[in-house]
Amino acid sequence: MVTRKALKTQIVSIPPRSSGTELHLAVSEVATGSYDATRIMAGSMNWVTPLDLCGLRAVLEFSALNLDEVFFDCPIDTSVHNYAERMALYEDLPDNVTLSRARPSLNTNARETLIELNRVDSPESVEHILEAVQKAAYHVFGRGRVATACGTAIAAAAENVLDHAESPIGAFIAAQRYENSGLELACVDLGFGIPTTLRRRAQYAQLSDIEAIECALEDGVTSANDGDVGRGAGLADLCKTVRLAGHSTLTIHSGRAYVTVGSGAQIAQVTTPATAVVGTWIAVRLKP
Amino acid sequence: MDYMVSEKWGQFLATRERGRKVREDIETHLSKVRAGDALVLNFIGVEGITVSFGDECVAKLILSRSSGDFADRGLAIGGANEDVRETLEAVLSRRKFSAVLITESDVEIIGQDDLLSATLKEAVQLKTFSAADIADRLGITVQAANNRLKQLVATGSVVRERVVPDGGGKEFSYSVVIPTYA
Repeated sequence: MVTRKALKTQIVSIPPRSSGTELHLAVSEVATGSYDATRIMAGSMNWVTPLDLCGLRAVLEFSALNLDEVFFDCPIDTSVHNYAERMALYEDLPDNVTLSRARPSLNTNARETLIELNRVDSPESVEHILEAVQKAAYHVFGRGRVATACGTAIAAAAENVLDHAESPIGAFIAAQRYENSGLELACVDLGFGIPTTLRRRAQYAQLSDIEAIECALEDGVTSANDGDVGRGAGLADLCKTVRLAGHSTLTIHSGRAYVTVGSGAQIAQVTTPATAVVGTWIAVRLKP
Repeated sequence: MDYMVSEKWGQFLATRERGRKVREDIETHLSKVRAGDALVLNFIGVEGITVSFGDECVAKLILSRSSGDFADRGLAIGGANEDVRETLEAVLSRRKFSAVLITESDVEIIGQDDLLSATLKEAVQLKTFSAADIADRLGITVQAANNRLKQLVATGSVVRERVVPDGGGKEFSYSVVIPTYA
């Protein structure tokens, strides 16, 4: 007779509109190694942003990598479930991830309004992101400086992951163009995070997590030890894009820091979360 | 000779890794260009590049030229759309470098200008000249002309060769190598 081991299961409950905190916490708990399985309860979700999608996929992948079994309770709301499918949330999931519902079969192609979840793990994937975001930005801002800046800035954020983060799952990027609120983009990785990466350089070693993120937003600040003046443009370019685009915001969650940059590239809000955020979670809203 | 960037590498170019590979390929092509000729980096068909790609590819080419590499052959940028041009402007300005851009009707300095445009304009008219010729045209000292010409050589618009003047000694002779302006 075969007896099955009782799994110690983590329960992650996602509210109708995720704040991201429960996903940050889920990653931290998985990283402690105290569980065998996880159940991510997203059944009540009635609104999903690009950041939610990137975060959910990152949690699913990270849990699948570290735990025996992963259960995902899909959104009960069919439109949300369909949207998750269209955004490729369920595509090519690891074998030990089980979905509570069948994947919907969809025929619609909404590529002009959305950029489905993309994993960033190679120069080619960064180039794909550059192309997709630049083209999506043309629809919001027209051809020109702002659209170019959107593409290059997000591609720079993606490249930062390849260069510095050493994320076990790579990074996930997604975007959605809304009629009224412009373009929303997100990039999530579960690597070292900005504060830890920047503090590797002696001159930044004493910075707090919040100070490190504020510092990383300045042009020319890099964790690369060669002091090359051509480096350190990635996050600064994101800031510049927010300034160029008008009514826009950039939100960065990493380590024990939540930093929001508003229009005018001024730091609008700084918060210290109770639990350190694993990796770097970036959301950008760009509106003319 | 034109180096067609998009034909070999695609329409959207990103990352330092890609930039390094493209630069190394360009250097291989540059090594085959005859002294006194120029290679045009033709960006026709390239829709977008990132700052890191532009820095690793174009800015580092200029950096190696300012150290004397391939100083006897020219380099120019052509076919860049507004998006590519703007990103190249940003990466070159960050390093305080300049490059020469051939447009449909003109030739321009992009990146850090610092009076280089005026110097290039005179150089294009003279075609082959000495530092003293430029100094005379611009009403500046020969030393100042030498400093500007050193930067022009780094851009790839002008090449120099050592010559022995009639009265003995040594000096440099400069020649414009930008296609259609040489």
